[in-house]
Amino acid sequence: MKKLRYYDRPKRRSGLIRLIVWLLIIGVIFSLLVLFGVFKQDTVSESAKSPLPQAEQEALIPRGKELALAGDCFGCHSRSDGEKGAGGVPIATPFGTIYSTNITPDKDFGIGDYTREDFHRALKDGVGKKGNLFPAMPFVFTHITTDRDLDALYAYIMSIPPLQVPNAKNSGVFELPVRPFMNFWTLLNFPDRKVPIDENRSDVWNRGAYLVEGLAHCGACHSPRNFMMGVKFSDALAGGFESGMAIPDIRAERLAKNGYSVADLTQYLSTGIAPEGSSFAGMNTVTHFSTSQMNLSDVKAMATYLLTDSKGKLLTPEQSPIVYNQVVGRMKQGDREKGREYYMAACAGCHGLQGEGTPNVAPSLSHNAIVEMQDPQTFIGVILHGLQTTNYTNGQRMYAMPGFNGELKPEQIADLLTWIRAEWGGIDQGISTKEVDKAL
Amino acid sequence: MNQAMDQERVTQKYPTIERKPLTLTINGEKIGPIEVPITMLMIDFLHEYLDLTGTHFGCGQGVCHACTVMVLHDDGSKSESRTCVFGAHYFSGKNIVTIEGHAKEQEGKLVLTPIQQAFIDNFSFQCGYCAPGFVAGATVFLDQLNRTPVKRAHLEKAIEDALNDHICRCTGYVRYYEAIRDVALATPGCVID
Repeated sequence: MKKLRYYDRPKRRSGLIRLIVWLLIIGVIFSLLVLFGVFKQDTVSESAKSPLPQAEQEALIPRGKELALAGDCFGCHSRSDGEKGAGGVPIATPFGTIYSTNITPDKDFGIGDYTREDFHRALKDGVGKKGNLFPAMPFVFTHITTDRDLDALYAYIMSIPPLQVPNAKNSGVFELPVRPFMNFWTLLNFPDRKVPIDENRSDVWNRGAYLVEGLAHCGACHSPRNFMMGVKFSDALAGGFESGMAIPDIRAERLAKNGYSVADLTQYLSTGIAPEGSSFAGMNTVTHFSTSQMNLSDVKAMATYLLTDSKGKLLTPEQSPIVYNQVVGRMKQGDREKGREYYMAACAGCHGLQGEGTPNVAPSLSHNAIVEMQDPQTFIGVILHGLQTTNYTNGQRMYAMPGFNGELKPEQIADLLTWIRAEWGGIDQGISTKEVDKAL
Repeated sequence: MNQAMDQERVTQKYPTIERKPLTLTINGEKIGPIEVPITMLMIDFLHEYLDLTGTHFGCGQGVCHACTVMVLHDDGSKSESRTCVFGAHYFSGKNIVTIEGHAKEQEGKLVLTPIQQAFIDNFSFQCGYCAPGFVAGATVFLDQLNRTPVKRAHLEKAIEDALNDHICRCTGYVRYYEAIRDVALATPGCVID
């Protein structure tokens, strides 16, 4: 029998092993390249690498202040009981909790040692002086901000009082040195986005597009996310999920269906209260700190952009009032009846017999965009856990809503929600006890 | 003649007021079944059907808490509930105590609860409009203290948190809170060191 020599071994097998080895080597090399940031975006412009003359920088402060309001920087970078810009707001993720940081110009605790270039890099590329920023910072949105506006923001942030407040320690996986690994995340989830400039459309639309898609980062909550928690830009503004709540779809078609006109949406953003509902939870932070403080022309521009459909048509609200209880003829009367009685006993005292609400106490439920949401999660959550007293501009407010968890049984809440949604939401799909239990 | 016209006018205006039988326990007494409009608020039911007028109607929006009554639960715990925003039927099957039901008769004499007595001893209220709500709120708070005592150092803060929603326009809360503190300190098991 002929002795097998090494070169006589079956060619195929050796080829497979070789292929695997090569793939592994390529994989490791590629991973190392990613880890060392070879594929990282570097979009900081050459001109931003030298500091601005002092006088020019000072002149930009007022403009920077407006932009910081549009970006709601202090909504996340200040605690409600803390000082402006000192950070410390917990942002829970499935992998641990990240705390927002001190962005005051303190040299030791804040970002006082950031140069103009460092600042541009943080907002454009999501890279800070200590490495990659976590995507809780919406750099995928601020990325599109113009150099001039970044200079203005830098000028303003450097002008606010420095605070000697140390950053809180992150928990979970974020305690580990994971910043370099964010390169993998950015490679997959950080497209080089551009401002959606359209010369055929009005200046107002273009201004709105720049704000909504950029600094105002509406899509950070209102867009769905993939399993890596990256924003799905293909489904931008189609609604998301945040802190146990379904976040509404805010594309033009949906907003118009909810009854929003440019005037109503501008009112909603600039005061927090509109016929289509009042802001609460996270969105109240936005209307309270950001949109109510912005220039009205910018808010109107955002409303115009949001209400313009993909073909460039400014949508107007559907004819109102829509008589929903006629639309929902398909539901069995009996299924709805029980819920109506619970509504009269538990809700009508504040929200009115016709769902019209009580000014400065309880919002109306008829024509309320949250009631009209197909996903009932937010609505169920509010009924179970209640809401705190919420303040709006011009001294307006909505009084605390009590939570009904324990007060009403899950099946009663299911019946109640089914009736309210049918009556004022135009939704003939009932809510099950299971869905209520899920939110408990 | 006039009466007949009035009746006709009412019938025209409210052709059918939808009613439903209601059963509940108030101040230890079983009420009903009694036909009550499904949209009637609890405070109107107490006033108009039962003549229990001690529960006061204040803001009518659930803010001032003058209309608060106490709810007794099956597990022995107590909670507060406003009657100006919840319908009578919301209390269906429940066991509630209005201001008329706190003091108990002993040997032919009405004896006030420690909270009621402390409010009087401390001159806690002037006009008395908010007093029924404060009695309910303070009684519920003491019940909670009995279950989960607080440290002495935290007592004032706990009182303020618990009674914060109750509005008083005469005495500025100080004497109410002092009265509640006195009762809490005098009741064994409410405050720990």
